[in-house]
Amino acid sequence: MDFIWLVLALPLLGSLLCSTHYRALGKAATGMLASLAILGAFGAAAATWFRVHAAGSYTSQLATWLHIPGVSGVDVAALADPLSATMLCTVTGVAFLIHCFSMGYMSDEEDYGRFFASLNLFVATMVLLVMANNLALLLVGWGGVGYASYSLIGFYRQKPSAVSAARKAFLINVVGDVAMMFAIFIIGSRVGSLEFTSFLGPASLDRMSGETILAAGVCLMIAAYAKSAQLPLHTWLPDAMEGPTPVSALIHAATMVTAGVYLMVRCAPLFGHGPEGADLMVIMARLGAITALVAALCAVAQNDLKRILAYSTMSQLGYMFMAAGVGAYGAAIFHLVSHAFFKALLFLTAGVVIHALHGEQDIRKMGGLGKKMPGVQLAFLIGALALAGIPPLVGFWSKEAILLGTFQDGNMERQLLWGVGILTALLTAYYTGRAYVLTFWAPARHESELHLPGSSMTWPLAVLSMASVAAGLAGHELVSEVQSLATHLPVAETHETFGALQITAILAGLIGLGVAYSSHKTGRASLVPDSAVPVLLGCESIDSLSKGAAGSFRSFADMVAVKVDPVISQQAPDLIQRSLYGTSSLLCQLQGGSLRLYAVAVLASSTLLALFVYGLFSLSIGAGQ
Amino acid sequence: MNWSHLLVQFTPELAVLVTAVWVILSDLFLSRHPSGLWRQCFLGLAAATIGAAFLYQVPTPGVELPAIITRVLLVSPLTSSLKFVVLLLSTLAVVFSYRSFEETERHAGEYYSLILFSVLGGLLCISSQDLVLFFISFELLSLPLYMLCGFRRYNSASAEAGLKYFVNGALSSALMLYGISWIYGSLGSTHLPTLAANYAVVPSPPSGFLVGCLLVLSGLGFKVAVAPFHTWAPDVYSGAPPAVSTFLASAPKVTIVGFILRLFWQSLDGTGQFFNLPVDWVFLFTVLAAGSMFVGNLSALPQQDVRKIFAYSGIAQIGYIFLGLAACNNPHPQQSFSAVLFYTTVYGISNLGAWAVLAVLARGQERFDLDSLRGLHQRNPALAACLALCLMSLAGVPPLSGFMGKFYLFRAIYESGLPFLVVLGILNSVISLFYYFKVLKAAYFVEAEDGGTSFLQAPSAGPALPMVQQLAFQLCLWSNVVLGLWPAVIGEVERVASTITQGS
Amino acid sequence: MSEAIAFYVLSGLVLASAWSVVRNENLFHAGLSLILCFVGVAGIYVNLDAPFLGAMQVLIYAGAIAVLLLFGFMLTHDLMNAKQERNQHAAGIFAAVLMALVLIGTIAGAQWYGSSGQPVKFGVESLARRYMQQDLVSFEVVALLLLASLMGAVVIARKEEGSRD
Repeated sequence: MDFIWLVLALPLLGSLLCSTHYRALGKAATGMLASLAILGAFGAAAATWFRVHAAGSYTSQLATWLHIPGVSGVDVAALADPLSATMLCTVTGVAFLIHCFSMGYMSDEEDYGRFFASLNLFVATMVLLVMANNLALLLVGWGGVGYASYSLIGFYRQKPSAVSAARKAFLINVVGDVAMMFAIFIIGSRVGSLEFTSFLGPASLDRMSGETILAAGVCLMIAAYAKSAQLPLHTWLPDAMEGPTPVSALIHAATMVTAGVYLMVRCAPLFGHGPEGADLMVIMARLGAITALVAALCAVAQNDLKRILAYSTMSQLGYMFMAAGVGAYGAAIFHLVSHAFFKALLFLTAGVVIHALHGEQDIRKMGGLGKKMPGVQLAFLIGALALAGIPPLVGFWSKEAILLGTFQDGNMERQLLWGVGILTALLTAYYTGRAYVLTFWAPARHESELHLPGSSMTWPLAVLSMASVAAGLAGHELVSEVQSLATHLPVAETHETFGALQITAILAGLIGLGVAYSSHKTGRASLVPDSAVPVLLGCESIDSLSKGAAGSFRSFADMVAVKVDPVISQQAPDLIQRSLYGTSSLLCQLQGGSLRLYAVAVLASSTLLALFVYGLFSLSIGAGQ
Repeated sequence: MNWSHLLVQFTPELAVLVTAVWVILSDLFLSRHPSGLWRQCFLGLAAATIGAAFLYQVPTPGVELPAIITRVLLVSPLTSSLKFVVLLLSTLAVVFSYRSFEETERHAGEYYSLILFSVLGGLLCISSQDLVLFFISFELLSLPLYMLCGFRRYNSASAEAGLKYFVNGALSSALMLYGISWIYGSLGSTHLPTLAANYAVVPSPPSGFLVGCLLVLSGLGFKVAVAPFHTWAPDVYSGAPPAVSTFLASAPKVTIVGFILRLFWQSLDGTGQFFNLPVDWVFLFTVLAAGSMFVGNLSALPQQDVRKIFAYSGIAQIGYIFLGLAACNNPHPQQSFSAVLFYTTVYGISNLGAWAVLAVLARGQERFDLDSLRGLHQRNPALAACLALCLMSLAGVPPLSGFMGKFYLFRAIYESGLPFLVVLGILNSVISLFYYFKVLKAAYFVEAEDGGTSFLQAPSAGPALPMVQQLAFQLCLWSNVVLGLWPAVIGEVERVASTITQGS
Repeated sequence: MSEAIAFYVLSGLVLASAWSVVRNENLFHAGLSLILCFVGVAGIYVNLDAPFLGAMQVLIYAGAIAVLLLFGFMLTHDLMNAKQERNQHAAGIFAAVLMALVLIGTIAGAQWYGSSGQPVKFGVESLARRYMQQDLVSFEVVALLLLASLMGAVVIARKEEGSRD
């Protein structure tokens, strides 16, 4: 038993207590309990991190889960290595701040207990996902995250849009779950072990054929794409904004969308093996770059504050996948961690703003908040600058790490990817700046009294802002530190044109911000002409595409429902039911209640049994003689 | 000869015996206070349970016990673990008996001492190495049950249940005894190891022995209500006080399944065929199993009385266990053993939990049709949750213990080369879902007509259950989850199963 | 030879009286036939050189149990003149024929273990030895069984307030 299990046990326990005892506890205590559970988990995660750094990676096995002949490693066991320890610290740390924020944000809600129970469960399942040392246990967390997100996105269950958003998120996540299961089947049957350290070892990989690697890799990628909202499985992410804002923060920063990136980095040796793995990585990098760009374009055309942030997450995740695709795993994880902090900061700040404006989410109807809420403005500014990649904030270093990892002299493909990255950075700076300017600087376009945040909502913002700044100042040392996470992984080669690349990136960020400032400071809503909006929203068209596909399925299903179904689903069950009930009433007639008949039945059946077996017996004796 | 070791080895039996006598004496001379007697009974059984757990954990000391004892009583990992499960179930059944019906109050001494005698009989059954001792212990297990079923003497249903169970039970006991006498006549002994030794020297398998074995099996089958020996079960379960049914449906069944395993497989020579008799045991057990599953599941469908549904579900569940027993007939039965043991344990606890809800509800109501459960989740969420989890576990909904149990069972059957039986089992699981969910629907999705006519009048108020009962409900509830997900349990069961064929 | 004749006579007695138990419409007469049946069985025991067992059979079954049964009939209201229901002939005959088939088959092919054809020396002393040595545990458990039955008798015989009888 190791304290790494506390990271899992505390949120689980918190979830349990919150769901069963919240009436007895009352609101304040429920929130406090949930937050303390996560704080405890964070403590345990930090302790694990230090232990890993002092003594190296280790596995803590609690028990064997299933004995499956021919497949080993289906255990309840945790893998503590630099990667999982870092992830655990990030998840629990950010989640703790979000929990504290929620205590203030959700204080008016009726279903306080359900909210915190689900929130704790969300963290617990994510922790399970991260610490699992085999794919089977990871799948438990993987599915659990999907379920918890479903219950949180659909938290306002009286709101039809929230319910349908939750359903959509769940459905697309199930696509990922199924892909994951296929990956497990493939790996389990071909390698005979589901344990990461075992099936990702060079010996096992050498035993796998190219097709196996291809199939397993594709399945893993589909799983990761569904969870991390990458093209074309991204449509659930913007809709997921229907959940309460802290939930969005949690989904985007710590507990859900990062799972896909984590899985890719965890399974890196698989992708780094052989020509098939290399092919997959190329696809991953290209799709990542496209996602980054398309999502950024989409964000430019949005007017809803939360949707802008949602698309920015998708775009940043695209960066991470691009990094993973070019083998810059350390950079991917570094960006994941830093993104967790500043995106949580941005979402929570957005939450404060929305809370203050009584639920108004349209940035065209905001403005002038900078003077009324200077602290919040500063926090948002820090987050926005980090997202835009302006030095010395942490976002700059992590994005730079990815861009530098991507660029390669004399490799057109890589240089093109880098170019897309820079273009995305420019767009990112622009839409972030636009959101910021329209919200805080532009003239006010609302009259209502502001609902100012309490201290429980502001201090997590302060912590996150300071973390973003401090990590940024620590800057370059941090880069090498995090790069070391990936020491066991294939490392991208270093390059020479260091200065110029960085300056280009910084310039891109500054230009984006500059454009945003100059064009929106007066309160002008959009630079984009209305006619261009549909073009920018290209990635949303996938949604309508899938709706169209669903529609044709639907009409087919309608046809089946009208023509075929009455036969199969009504008459057949009717028939089955009638025959079952017929047999059943026959049997019940035998159960007449007469004592003597029962006695006769016992006697007769035991003798019948004897007679029957005895007959067989004498036959076999006869045959034997 | 070291008598102190004897005391240690048979702590559970002795604790139950002492408690039984103590309860009688206390009832006679000290205090007739029902809750006092209940507490004594509970504490005694709890102590016995802990003792059994301890004996299971600590390997038996290598000390010679008097031959008079070791000749007829066996202590092995199998018996210790079975005793632990039986005692745990009995303890829970006693906990749920508290104030369940009026007569437990007025005749507490008789009630609890009868339960204790029955438990003692069960414990001796599990250990017995000699058919004579087995038969007497079996009677010690059964006789109090007849009385308990008819305990509400002036309630016609209860009296009828007692009488029916008694007459039919006497008949099946007589058949079993007759079978034992055939075994004695054919092989010259009632002592199981001696029987095995004698069997090895007879030239050809005596037919009298076979008939004897079948008659014994039918007697055992009667006690676990396997079809076609199940006829008594629906009437008795629904007529007996629910608290008694709670006990009846759990501990004795585990006892008998354990003894079947011991009788038919422990003194094996490792061939996986019971005494090498040239009989298709797989077929025999399959007939019994399929009959039980179909009769139980189909008859449960139209029932309106929840007790009858549970009774038929019990018959069907025994069918699954017999499917597992059918799969034990091969040279490598370990996996099937562990599946049967695990499933039996899971079944015992889940079934007990479901019945316990009725036992507690019986404090305020006489009728147990589906309507009487209406809105249970509003009236008492904890009870409703326990009912829901136990029934879903019995139905085999993942990830509950019943699902894991069925999974292991069907896997073992499949790997024994009997895929057809797996199909039978799964088909029946599907049928069973229907009536389990019918009960759940009544408890969860149908609102109470007038805020609840039975049990607790107001949704939140009402007589609170005693702390011990609440804890026991929690135990039943969570065991469904824990047994399903906690892998170490399977490991333990496999360890026990691996010792079954290792001599006696 | 004389033993064989005695056996067949006694068996005939047992069978005839058993038939009468089942067939007699009057419960009391059926009870009396039962005593005859028990006595016949005792005779068979004696004939098999087990006089102690025969004596016990007479004492316990023909004496105590059957008499108790008759007292029960006499003391229970309206039972003396009650007629047995006899509407389940078919089922009964079915079960009996099945049983007979099995038994005839089994007995015809029976191989007795270690049977030398000579009656085993069987006396009170050897019985006592078994009880006190080999089967001591069973003997003790029988005591518990009796105690449990006693408790059960208390349960069945108790009278409750407001009861009908």
